[in-house]
Amino acid sequence: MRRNDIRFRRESLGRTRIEQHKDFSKVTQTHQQQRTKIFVRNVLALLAVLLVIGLIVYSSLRLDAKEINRWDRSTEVLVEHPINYPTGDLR
Amino acid sequence: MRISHHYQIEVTSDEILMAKKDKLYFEKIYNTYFERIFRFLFRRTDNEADTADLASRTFVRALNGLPKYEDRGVPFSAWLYRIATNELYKFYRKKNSHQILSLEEESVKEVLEDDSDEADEIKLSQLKALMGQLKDEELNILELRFFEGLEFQEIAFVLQKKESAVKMRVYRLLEKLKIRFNESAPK
Repeated sequence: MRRNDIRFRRESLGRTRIEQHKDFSKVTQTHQQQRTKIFVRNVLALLAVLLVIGLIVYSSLRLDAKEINRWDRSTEVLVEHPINYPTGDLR
Repeated sequence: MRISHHYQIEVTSDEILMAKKDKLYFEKIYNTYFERIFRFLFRRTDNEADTADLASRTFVRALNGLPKYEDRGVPFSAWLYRIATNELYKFYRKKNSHQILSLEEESVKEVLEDDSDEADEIKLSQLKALMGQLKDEELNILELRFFEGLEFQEIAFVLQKKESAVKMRVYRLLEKLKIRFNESAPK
């Protein structure tokens, strides 16, 4: 069973050919691009987190407001239609 | 078998420190190791374009990871070999193909300590067949030890294994090759 592809070369790769691929500016350029990408990704992630937190806070505030409104309405009802407790001798 | 390269130039710890502070100093590291890493990758791909791409990725990853680099008592080149090896694994996984090892005949003869022309072709074809059956990791160890000339400690660092385990693997690997070589030798 053959697992690997083994090859034997008669000639070695010349130094001049290797030098042709040597380009430090390409490495720094890619590095810079990757850093920019990472920065943008981090900013987007931060914005997403802030958005989620904002939504949670907003929805909980809305819930609170609803609760207060309901409480207000119930007091209004009480004011408008006071409960008439029976008075006098109940015996 | 003997190791083909005994001595290689390494950057100093001061130069690494400077590159950590300012990426422009990384150029010195790049120039020092580019050819070695390129040759290593070329042996594992046998394709100039793929090698250029992998070499570029290796150095970009090294530049990205340099602030986190710590001296673990092995030459800086071992760290680069580790990155290059990981890039190779990714490359093969993506391609879903067999591992390639393309060696120069001259360096193979040097490792075999055989300069004769007569037995060369037979020996080379036998070796080719035997090496083709090795596991990926065995092939990596063989190449790093005998064609890259790395020390056991360095190979252990590159492959993230214990030094004693690497020594044992090399010993067993040589024994295995010796036995198979004798079995397949023409009588």
